[in-house]
Amino acid sequence: MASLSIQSVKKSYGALQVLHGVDIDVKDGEFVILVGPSGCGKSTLLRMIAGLESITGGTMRIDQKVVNNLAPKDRDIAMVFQSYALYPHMTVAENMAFSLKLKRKPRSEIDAAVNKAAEILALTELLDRTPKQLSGGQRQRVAMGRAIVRDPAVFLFDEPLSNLDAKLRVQMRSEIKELHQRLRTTIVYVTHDQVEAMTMADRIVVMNGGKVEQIGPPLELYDKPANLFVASFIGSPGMNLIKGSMTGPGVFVSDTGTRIDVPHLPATRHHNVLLGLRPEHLEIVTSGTPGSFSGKVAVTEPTGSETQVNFRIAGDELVGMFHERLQVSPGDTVHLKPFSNRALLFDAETGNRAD
Amino acid sequence: MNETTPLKRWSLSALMLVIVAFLNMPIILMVLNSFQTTEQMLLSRSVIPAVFSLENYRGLTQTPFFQYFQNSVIVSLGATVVSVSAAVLGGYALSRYRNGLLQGYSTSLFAVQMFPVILALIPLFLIFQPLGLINNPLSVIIVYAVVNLPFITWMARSYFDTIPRELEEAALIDGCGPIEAFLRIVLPLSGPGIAATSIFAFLFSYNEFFVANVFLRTTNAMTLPVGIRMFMDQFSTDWGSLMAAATLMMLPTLVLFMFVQKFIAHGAVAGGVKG
Repeated sequence: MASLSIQSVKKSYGALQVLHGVDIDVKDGEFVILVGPSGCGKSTLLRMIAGLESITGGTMRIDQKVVNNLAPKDRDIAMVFQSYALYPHMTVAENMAFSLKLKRKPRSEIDAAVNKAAEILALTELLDRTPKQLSGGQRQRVAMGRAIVRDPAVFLFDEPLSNLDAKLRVQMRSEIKELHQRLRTTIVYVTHDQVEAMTMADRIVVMNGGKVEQIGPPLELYDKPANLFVASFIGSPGMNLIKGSMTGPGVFVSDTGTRIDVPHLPATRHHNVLLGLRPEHLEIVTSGTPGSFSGKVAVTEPTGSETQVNFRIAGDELVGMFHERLQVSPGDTVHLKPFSNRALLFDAETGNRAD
Repeated sequence: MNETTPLKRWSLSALMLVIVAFLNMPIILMVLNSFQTTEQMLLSRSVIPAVFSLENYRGLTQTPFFQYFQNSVIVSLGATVVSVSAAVLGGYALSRYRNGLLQGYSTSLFAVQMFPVILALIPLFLIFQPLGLINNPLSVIIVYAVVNLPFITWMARSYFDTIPRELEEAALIDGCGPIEAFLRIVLPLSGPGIAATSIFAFLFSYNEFFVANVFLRTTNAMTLPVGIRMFMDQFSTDWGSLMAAATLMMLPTLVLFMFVQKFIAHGAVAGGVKG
């Protein structure tokens, strides 16, 4: 177990800079997820932690020790690859024992470690099989087993679930989380799936364009996004963003003319702003309710536990998420009222919060 | 979907058999003729010998045929081992690393292929002679290995390109150095690729006539392609012995193919990474 400190880390390929000075501190035993769209540099950063990519600038420390120039094998890390990367010519047991064999550990110790990891991951029955005789989920577990056996300072996961089908992904998600609760090893996990990040992480690092946009616990990122990127990236369906201006204290008027009362919102900027409203922070009210505005139902998407409704309000589109079963159909006119104390305001030019 | 009736299958098989027989006619004729003497061959009206005779094969024991055979095997195996070892290492470097030196090397591999070996024969002869390498298998081993190298380096490189890099990266993290990762992970998975390059290198060396004809002049040093010319005189050709010699010469190639066939199967790296 160990802490991980990344300070002003940069990465360039020739003239192309892909990481522009990243600062992240991962505490001992913490589960940190790097999340962001494709090409944001999250996988590159993970590979730099692993030692598979060189570090162009900055300092990386594992347990206070600078590892910038250490070979991967000397960093005491284990990594689970997106493609599993199991050795095809070895059995499951040999795959898991490989690292210990290289360290010339005694046979009995290796067997004990492999058997223990196999038991944790329910792989005992499969120890004699080769990777090609396994299903996707089993291969994923072997890859994790190979990492567990090492008892490393830091676990690195590079989009480990992206090759699994949806159902298995949900199952493996809780298995990984349970594994972390059991082993309490420091984990750095990369994914582009914000649901994975929200459900598993102690803290999330949102990255975009080679920079860190925000670091924080999942719900903090959800409730208090620092900027438009985080607001729109975290949450599914995404946050409603309505362009407009603050015409008076607590009064927002969209560019299309809809007035929305947001008395709790102290605006620091008045023109060219975006009002952010989470889909679940809208309620359907009766006509004439103070602070409500009307809109037309465009599409309803019931999932059983909740219903997603897309509304057209003048020229804007809003998405609402409701837990109760709604009796509305496309074309109906409804009255909506936002939970105005949950509304956020963003500066449309800089993307930063303006409340 | 599957509409093949037994009749259709049988007729397709028969058609295939005819095509195979037609394509392999020279080889079939060679093998059949090796079982009759030159006189029988010239008198016969049929392709299939009236009497199978091992006379030609027995006759070969009176000739230096088996000396040639031995020389050929030494030369071919020597050239194969040298060139494949170099090609595997070179191909791996070309597949995994990028820098100016390797770029230059890979370009020069192409450039070298542009020059026919005949251009180098006289200079090589002048170099080999003072070194005492004329009539020595080492001379042709060197030449064959070098002539083979560009092509089989590219063959090896394209095979290594198919082995996922993540496997080595996993090995690096598990505690291997770069060389150990190559030896423990990449090499054991390269069986099919190495088999293919080896066959290519072996066949070239085993069949080569021109270079051997220049450097190997004595009976003790000659390889098979050069040696079996002894059955063809200026005014007469001992067809029977020639056919028997050619048939025997073909055997190592046949055995080699049957032996390595199982290695050239797909799926050596199946299951390692998500495909």
